[in-house]
Amino acid sequence: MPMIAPKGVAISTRQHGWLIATSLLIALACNLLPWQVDLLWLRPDFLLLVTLYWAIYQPNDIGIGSAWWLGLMEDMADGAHLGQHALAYAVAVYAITFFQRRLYNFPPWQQILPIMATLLIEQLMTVVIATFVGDSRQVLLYFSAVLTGTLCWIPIWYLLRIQHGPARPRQQ
Amino acid sequence: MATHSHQDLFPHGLSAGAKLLVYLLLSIVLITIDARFRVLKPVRAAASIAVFSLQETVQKPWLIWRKMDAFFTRQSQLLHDNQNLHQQSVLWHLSQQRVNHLEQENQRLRALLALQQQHTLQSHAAEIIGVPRDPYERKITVDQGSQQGIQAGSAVIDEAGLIGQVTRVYPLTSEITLMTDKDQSVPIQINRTGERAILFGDGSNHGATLRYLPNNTDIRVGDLLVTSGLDGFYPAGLPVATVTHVDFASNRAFALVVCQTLGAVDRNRHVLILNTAKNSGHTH
Repeated sequence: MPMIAPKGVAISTRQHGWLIATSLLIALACNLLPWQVDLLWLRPDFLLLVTLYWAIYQPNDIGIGSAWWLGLMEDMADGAHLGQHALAYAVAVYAITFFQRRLYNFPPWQQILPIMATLLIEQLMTVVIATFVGDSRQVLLYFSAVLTGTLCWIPIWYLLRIQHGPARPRQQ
Repeated sequence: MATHSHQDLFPHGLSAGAKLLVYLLLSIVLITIDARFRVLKPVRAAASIAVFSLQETVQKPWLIWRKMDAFFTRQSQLLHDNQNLHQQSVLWHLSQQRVNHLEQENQRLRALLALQQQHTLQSHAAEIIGVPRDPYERKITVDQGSQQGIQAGSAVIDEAGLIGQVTRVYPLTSEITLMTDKDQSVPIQINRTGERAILFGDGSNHGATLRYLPNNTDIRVGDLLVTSGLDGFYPAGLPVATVTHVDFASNRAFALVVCQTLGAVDRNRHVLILNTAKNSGHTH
């Protein structure tokens, strides 16, 4: 009897390296777009959304480690404390790995709630870290980005799915 | 056993939880180093160059659109603006003559009093290229850096008043901490009475508070606050804020004075950096 028997649907391990890298770079660029100061609160974290997409569909390429490095890039782009978003991204992807198998088979509209919960976890982590470092201001407003981020999930999902190749055979 | 050689106890390397723990510890170390010791400056400088080039690429279409928009401005609009500016220029000219006169007089008086001469200010115009999303960071990034001679500690103004202070200088960009940042404080004096105080940012968009003013201070709503120049970083006499709310409650040790800052980064994209810093250290 084999010790490790594969369970469930086999996850595609095709190489998508260039696509993953390009989409992540574009997402980071979107985070750097000029926004009006008053609307800045609503800016969704595109990099995190794309990272979560790949964590669901290419878990062998984007895991906790890569998420940590991507978060570090966001820290540098944002001028935040180094490590703040890095840790939050790692925790978010860790949360996603628990439901990765299920999310993989969900249609995008069913993924919305877990994605929203994950975005919430990420924002909470950032706020907690910022509080530890000694900041505290306007916390509630900050969470408005969770809602806009959730709204962006479906468009991003379809955009990446088009690039990602033909749809998987859907389980009945 | 040869048949089971591929079956390791941990076939996927570290478990997710263990990985998370490793990165958690790594993050804590990094955050502590960054927040307490400020030794990651060169790392940030290198990253800022990469981010700046990416930012420029992303913002290019937007800038081109703005240029095109400016090109197609209506003729009548231009004529109207031109006339207005002309009128304004005459007025400025008039007041400039008065300023010249006063400056000369002031210099004579200073010489008489053997006071230290105030040196004239060098300034750099800069454009805002980035505003971080983080609500804790009342900071902006501008497109002038150490290559252009920007020094940390310099005051930053717009046409209405003081905005903040240069806190980090990178080769091509620099980071400005707004005076509304909760860690920022500006030594001011009340223009009407000349009383000195310190203005603290409160982390919101336009808000700041005057702390440690006794309850019998002569301060009213609408008073203009200007820099006192006592710290040696901000030149004296720059307009900073107006008082919007005063509360002399006897149950507090000090008066509650809320102010609204005059300069604002959400109004335009250009700021002026005044080179007043005498040393190039990191200052708050």
